[in-house]
Amino acid sequence: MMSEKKKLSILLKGIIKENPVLILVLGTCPTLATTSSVISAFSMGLVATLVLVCSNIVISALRKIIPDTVRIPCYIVIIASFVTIMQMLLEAYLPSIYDMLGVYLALIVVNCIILGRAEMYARKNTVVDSALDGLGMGIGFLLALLVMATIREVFGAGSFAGFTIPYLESFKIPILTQAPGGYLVFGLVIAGMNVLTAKRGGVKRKSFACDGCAMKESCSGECSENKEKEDKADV
Amino acid sequence: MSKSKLMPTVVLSAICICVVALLAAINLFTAPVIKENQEKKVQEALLEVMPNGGTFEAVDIVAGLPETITDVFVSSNGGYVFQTKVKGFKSGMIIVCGIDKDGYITGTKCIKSQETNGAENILPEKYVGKTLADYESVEIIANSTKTSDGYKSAITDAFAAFSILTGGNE
Repeated sequence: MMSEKKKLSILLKGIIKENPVLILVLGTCPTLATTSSVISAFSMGLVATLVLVCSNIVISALRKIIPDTVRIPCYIVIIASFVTIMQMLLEAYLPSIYDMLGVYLALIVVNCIILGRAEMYARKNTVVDSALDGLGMGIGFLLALLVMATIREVFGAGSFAGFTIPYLESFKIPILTQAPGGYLVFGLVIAGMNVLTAKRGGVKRKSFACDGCAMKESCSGECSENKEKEDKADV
Repeated sequence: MSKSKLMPTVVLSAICICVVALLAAINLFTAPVIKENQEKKVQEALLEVMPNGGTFEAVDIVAGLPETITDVFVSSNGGYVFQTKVKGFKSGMIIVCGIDKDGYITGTKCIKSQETNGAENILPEKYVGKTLADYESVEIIANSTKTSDGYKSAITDAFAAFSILTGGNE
């Protein structure tokens, strides 16, 4: 029972409490680039989730084999291979989605969320937990993209997933579908998320130490230990 | 060499080998589908850039054509469609350009690119109806200078190839 509860909390934390886009502010490039339409945002979210789950599983499974000194190159090779597989499959079987995502599909390789979860979580936890973490973070990423894309497409283009909304079409705000509108909506959604988490007693934003870190629970405090070592070395 | 120095190399190499094998296996069954999709896309693009072209036949690339010309098709009504691969903001921008027997551009289309501004989708209509004499008057799109220049260079090469193939009677 306790174990099931823990697994559920691993899955759910990525959705609100540690949402990769709105709380950790990672993966901003694809978030701003692909949220001008709901379909491209959904496609990007889905592909990134699949890559995240697969890479977390493989990295977790190999965590005892991969030496610390080459762990980052190994993670990059594993992540890049899954992204390339997704690219090949999309180009073959869903070419319209492949064309829609364009260069941003290949850029998933350098998505901070994926490398961040590999480094922060997958290399320290079991395969099942890592898969759940990847799935939760992926769903959190997908939901954040969908919220952003819905606001931008509905109010910016007067449509939803390509379907025109008759009344809104006359009152659309085109700048929302462009880069400045992306930043504006991103800021507003983050502000909304802050209000939401503050009401729930969320993250202590004013602290710059471990207490203020959204990833405190999944981190073993290595970052602060390393900092202490560095400080001592400097002295 | 000590074990601690050898292990990282062995592990990273082993991962790379596994990854290459996996990608090769997936490429084995996706490559034919991708090729088929691209051929279908080219045929659709040929009809799009030359709607009254009738049927199209591939022509061998003759010596002297610009290096960017990757494919040439001749239509049953005497026009030519050129496929060019040029560099815009990123390399690998593939553009098809149809020129009728009188030297007028019947249409252009970008069928593959890695551009980020989407200018390659706005530029095609600007070139329709242009000839060798006036195609250079098409203005670049703001914030997409490299894409616009790349697109124009594809049209320049298409006209150069047309001139060679028709004996300079454009």
